[in-house]
Amino acid sequence: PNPSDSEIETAMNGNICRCGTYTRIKKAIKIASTH
Amino acid sequence: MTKIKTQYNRRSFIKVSTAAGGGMLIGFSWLNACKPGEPAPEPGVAIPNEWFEINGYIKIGDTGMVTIYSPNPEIGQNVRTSMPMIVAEELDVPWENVVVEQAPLNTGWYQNQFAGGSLSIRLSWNALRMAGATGRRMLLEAAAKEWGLAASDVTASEGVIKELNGDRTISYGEIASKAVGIQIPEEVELKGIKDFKIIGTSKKNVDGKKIVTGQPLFGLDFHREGMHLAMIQHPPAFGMKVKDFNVEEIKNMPGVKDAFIVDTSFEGGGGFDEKGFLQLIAIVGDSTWELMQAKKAIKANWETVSELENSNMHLKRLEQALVSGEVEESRIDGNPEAAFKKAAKVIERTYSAPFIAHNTLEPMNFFANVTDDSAELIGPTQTPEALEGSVSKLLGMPIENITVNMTRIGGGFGRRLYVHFGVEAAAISKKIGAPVKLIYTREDDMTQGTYRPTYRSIYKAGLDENNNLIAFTVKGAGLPEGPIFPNRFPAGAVENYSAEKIKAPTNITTGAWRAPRSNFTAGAEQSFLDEVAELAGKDPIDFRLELFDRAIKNPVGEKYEYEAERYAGVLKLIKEKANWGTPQPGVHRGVAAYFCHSTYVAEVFDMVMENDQPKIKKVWCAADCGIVINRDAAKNILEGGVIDGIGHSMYSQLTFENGRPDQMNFDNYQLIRHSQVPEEIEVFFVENEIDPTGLGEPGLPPAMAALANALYKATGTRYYHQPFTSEKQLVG
Repeated sequence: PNPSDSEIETAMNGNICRCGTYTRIKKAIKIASTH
Repeated sequence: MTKIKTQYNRRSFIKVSTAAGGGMLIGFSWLNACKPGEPAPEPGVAIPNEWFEINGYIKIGDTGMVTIYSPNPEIGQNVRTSMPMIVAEELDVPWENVVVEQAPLNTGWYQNQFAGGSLSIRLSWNALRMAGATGRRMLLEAAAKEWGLAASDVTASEGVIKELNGDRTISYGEIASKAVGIQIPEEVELKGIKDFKIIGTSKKNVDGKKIVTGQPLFGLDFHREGMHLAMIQHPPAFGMKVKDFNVEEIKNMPGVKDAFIVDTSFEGGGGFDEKGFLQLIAIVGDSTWELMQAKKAIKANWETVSELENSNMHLKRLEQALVSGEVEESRIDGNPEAAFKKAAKVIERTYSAPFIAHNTLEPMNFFANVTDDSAELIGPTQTPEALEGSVSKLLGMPIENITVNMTRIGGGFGRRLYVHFGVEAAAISKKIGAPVKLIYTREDDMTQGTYRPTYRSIYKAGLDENNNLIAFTVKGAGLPEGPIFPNRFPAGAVENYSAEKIKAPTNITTGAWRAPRSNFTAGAEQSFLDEVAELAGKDPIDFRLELFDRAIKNPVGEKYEYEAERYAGVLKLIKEKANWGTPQPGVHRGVAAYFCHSTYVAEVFDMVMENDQPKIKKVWCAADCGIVINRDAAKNILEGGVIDGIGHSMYSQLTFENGRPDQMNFDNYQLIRHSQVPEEIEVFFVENEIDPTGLGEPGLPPAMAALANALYKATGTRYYHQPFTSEKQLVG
C-alpha cells in the first residue's frame, strides 16, 4: 500500500492523539507502508 | 570541567541499606506485580547475576549493565529517558548498557519528584549530574585501590577504567562490587559541556518498544491479585452535593460488592486538594462492565448548595470584573491615560478563552491498598509527595507508613497535579478493607472540574505621530484567577504601561492547565502586538526587536521578568531560519514569541488557502532552553505543544447550563484531529551553555497567536475569542 496524506488522514481521523504527535504518526505510517 | 560540592542531598549517595523517610523501598519494576515474568530488557550487555548498589540513582551489574533510577513522574515529557541520560553522561557509561527503573517516592534520597512547571530537568540538573559523577568517582577509587594507585592515576570512560601510566584496564562491572560503600569525597568533577557524549544527542524513548508492543505500563493497566475495582459518581453540576441514593438496589446488582457514599474531606488541605466534589457515590466490584451498569442505575438525590452557573453568567462576571473587579496584582509605569490622550493612534481590543478540560487520554485512576497501619499507593500522579501528604491527613496515618509508586502516565497537562483521585482510592480501600483500583470514565473525568479558567482581557495601545509605541495597557480577568503577569513583556519596554490581573468568583473548580495563564495571555498579547505593528506600519518581528532594544538599553521601571537578549534571540533565529524577509506567493505568515517557565520560544506559521480553507503548511519553531538534553525528544515535545496550542485555540471549549458542563465526551468536545494539524513542524534551538530549562509547556503559548496572526493574513479576519471555530465560520 502507498497511502496519500489525505488517505491517511481520513483513515486515522477517528484516532485522537492527545500528545500532538500526529505528524510523526503520519511519517511512521508512510515508513511502515514501504515494508 | 567544573567541580561541585557533594553536600547536596548526600544521603542519596550513601550505600543503599534501608530506605529513609519514605518507608519500604520497592526497588524493582512493579511490573512484576501485574504480569508474571519481567519483559527482558535489550541493553548492550548480558543480564547480570549480581547487582551492586552504588547510590540512590545507580546500581551496576557484574556484566556492566547499569540500572539508573529515574526519580520523576513520566507524563510523556520523556524525563524517564532524559534524566537517566544526564546520570549516564557523568557516570560515563555507554547508553546501550543502561536500563531504566522508575524510582518510588523517596524524599530521603531524591528531591522535587514532581512533574509540573516544566521543572524536572531544571531542578534536578545538578543532582543528576552529581549522582553520576559520584558513582564514577567511587568506581575510580575502587580500581585505584585495587591497583595500589591514587585516584588521580586512573581515568574512566565509557564504562572502563584505565591506569594512566600503564596497561591495566578494568570494566565497571568487574570493579563494582568493590565500589560499594566507598566514601564520597567533598567535591567531585563534572564533565565539561564540550565533552558530553550522551547529552545533546537523540536517544530513543526507553519505554518505546514496550509501548508499541502493548506492555502494561500505565496506571490503568495496573493489576494486583485480589484487588477490587471501584468507580465513582460525582454530582452532575457544580454547586451540588450528594444527599442519598438507591444504595440497596445498587448493592443487589450483579457483580457489585459494595456501594456507599465516601467522604474525602480532611483538615489542612493544600493547593493540590479537591475543593469541589468531596462526597462521592462509590461502587465496588470486580469488573468494569458490571460497575458501569451499576453506575447507570444510580438514582441519586442531589442538593443544591451554591449557585448553579451558566456560560452567560460567566461572560457577565468577566465583563463586570474588567470594569470593577478585584485587582490581584498590577504594575504601572508612567501615565498611560495621559499618553493615550495625546497619542496619534489608539487601538483597543478584547480577547477571551473558555473553560477547557485537560482530557488526558488516560482517565483518572489510582490503586490503593490501605490496612490499619499502612497505605500502599500506586498509579499515575504528577505529585507523589503531595498525594502522600493528603492521604496521611485523610487516614490520620504517619507518612512513614505510606508508600507511593508511580506508573507511567498517559498524559498530565497539569490534571494529575491534583491528588483527589488517589485520595478517593485510599478512602474507598479503607472503607472496604481491601486493595482497590479506582477508575474514572471519560464522562466522570471531563465533568469533574479542575478546568483551565475562563478569561477575558482588554488590551490598549497608543502610537505617537512617528509610530512609536508610547502607551500599552492590559486588564485581564479570570474565573477564578486573572491571566496577567504584570512584569512580563512588554513591561520595561514601554514608557507608559499598566497591567492588571483581576479575579472574579466561580464555584467551578479549576487547576493548572499546560502553561497556566500563559496559555491564554500569549495568544491575546502576541496577536494584539501584531495589530499594533500593523497600525504602526512595521514588520511584526522588527517591531518587537525594537521594543527589546529599549528594554536592554533604556529600560522602563524597576525590573521586568524576562531577559530581553534571549527573548530577542529566538525571534532573530526564527527570522533567519524561516526566511522571514522573503515572502512566498500564496503563503500567509504569522509570528509570535513568548517567554514562560524560564524558556523562550518564537514561532512562525505558514498558511495557505486550499479550496478556500486555510491550512497550516508549516510551523517554524525556535527555542532557547539552554542546554538541550535529548535533542529529538526536545523537538517532539515542542511539536506537541504547538499542536496542543492550535487544537485548543481552534476547537475546544466547555459550556455550562445549570452548573453542568454541556460536553462530556469527544462527540461534542472537540480535540484536534489528524486532518487538522500542520503538514510539517521544524524546530531549531539556540545553542548555548546555559543550564537547561524546561520544554513541557513553553511550545504551546506562542502557537495560539502565531496561528491567529497567520489566519488574519490568509483570510483577512482577526480572531479574538477562543475557540476560533465558534467565532466565525471557519473550517480548520
